[in-house]
Amino acid sequence: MLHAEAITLAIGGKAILRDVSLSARAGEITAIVGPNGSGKTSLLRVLTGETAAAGRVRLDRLDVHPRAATALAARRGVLPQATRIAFPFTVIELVRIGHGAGQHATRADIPDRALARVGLGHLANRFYQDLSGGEQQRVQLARVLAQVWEPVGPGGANWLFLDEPVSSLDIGQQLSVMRIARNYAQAGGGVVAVMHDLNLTAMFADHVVMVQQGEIAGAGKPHEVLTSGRLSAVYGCALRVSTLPLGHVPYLLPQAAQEFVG
Amino acid sequence: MQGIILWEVRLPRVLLGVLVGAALAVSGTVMQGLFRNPLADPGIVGVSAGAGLGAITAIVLGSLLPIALRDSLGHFLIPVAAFFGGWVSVLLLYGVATHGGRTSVATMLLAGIALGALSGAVSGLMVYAADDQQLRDLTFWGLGSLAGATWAKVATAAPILLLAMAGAMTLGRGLNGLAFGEATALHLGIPVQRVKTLAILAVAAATGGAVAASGGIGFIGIVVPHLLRLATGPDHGPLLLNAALLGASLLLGADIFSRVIIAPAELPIGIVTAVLGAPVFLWILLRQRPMGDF
Repeated sequence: MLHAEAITLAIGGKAILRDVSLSARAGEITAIVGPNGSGKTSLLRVLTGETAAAGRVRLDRLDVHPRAATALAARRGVLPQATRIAFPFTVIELVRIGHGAGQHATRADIPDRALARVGLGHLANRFYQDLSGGEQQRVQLARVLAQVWEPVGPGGANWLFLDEPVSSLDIGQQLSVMRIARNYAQAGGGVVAVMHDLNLTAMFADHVVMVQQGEIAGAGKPHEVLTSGRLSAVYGCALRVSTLPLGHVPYLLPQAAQEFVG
Repeated sequence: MQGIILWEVRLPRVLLGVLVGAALAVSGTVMQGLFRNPLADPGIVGVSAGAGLGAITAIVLGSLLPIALRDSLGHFLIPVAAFFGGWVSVLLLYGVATHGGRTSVATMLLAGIALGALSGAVSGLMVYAADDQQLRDLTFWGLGSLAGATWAKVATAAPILLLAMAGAMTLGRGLNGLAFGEATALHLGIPVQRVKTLAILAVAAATGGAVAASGGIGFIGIVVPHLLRLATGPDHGPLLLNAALLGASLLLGADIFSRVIIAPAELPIGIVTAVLGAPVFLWILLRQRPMGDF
């Protein structure tokens, strides 16, 4: 269980997050959505202990804070939006560095399996710098998976924190990465993802937290949060949400927005 | 007679060469890991110049220190002063070139030039203030040489250099993590602040100790890690240990070369290492440009 209570963060005198509280459960994908500049990524940075903020974040019994780096590394992996690597590491060397930071560092088969899971086993010995943006993003996901390979470890559920994990991927890869996240959650792990794509969010998230100008604008199941009224207000344009005939999965067509306005 | 030459002249020189070569290569490796850039070398970005300024200041102004302090430091006065000079230089450089966990290569190189020039200028002022005996001591720094090796010098340099290298050897995992940037290093469980502090101290001590013992010998710190990354990859675990071994061998080889090539005269060893190293530096610069931070 991840608990954030009354998170307040200001950078350079500018309020980024104001009194944000949220919970995320293991076994679920929790998506953080909101417009550009709403504070999604800053919120994720506080939740991972990268940024210290006023308020309190706890991952089970662990206090999440930059000083707790070593204890946290055994419980959660973090995928940033983009990662530049300083030296010419090969793909497998890079995944091994993630693996070495986790609690399964003695199981030598994990790095190869992590690469295979993101579909890049054939690139193991290539240089990271030579890969495309989408391939780099998936290699980083493999590195994070290798760090917290088992969704449930001796200390309880392990967690993935993903910052826009599908931002540079084509639609096939977007779906396969989201399935990896879903499988991780279904096996008992926790997943917290900052998402840009509302349709993927609606498809895969169990719990949605919407952020607007550093405050929570709504939280709950996708069909409760992703409503025409709330989206139109938060994103500042007239949007109309439809629902697939089966189930509660809402979807959103940009074309419908224009129709609505016109 | 031969025994004396071997024991009193050759052996201390070999030992000093091994220590200094290893220390220069290790400090280059650590510095490059810290700055996340293969161009960061203590000689190029002004850290050696800062350490040299410390050493020169100690030679020229050391007599002004309280006698109690001078006595307690003894032979270590010059290396300790060089360490402080190097330490201040790395701290300044890191403060200027790194913001929010990212290093700007251009800023690092430019700040390094400025820092080196400033240290050089102040060192020049010190030379004006020096008397004849001090001048003789100082000339030695300009050249960069192992020729002055004595057992006393080895005994002075060894503790500082060995301590710096021992500290550096613990940094493998930390520097690997820093290659991903500070945020990801933290997520990998690395105590980033502690790694940075230790890296800066190790670079300052290794560079300061080496400069105090043998003057400014350039380019070992850039050539060695670069060659090793080509051979065994960028993993800092093996890299640090191998750098110590290859740095020692390379400087020893360069010293023998500089001693025999125009015998009975001696070529300053700095010339040999620069001829080896400058092309490597230019080559890295050329290769880096398409993906650099400029």
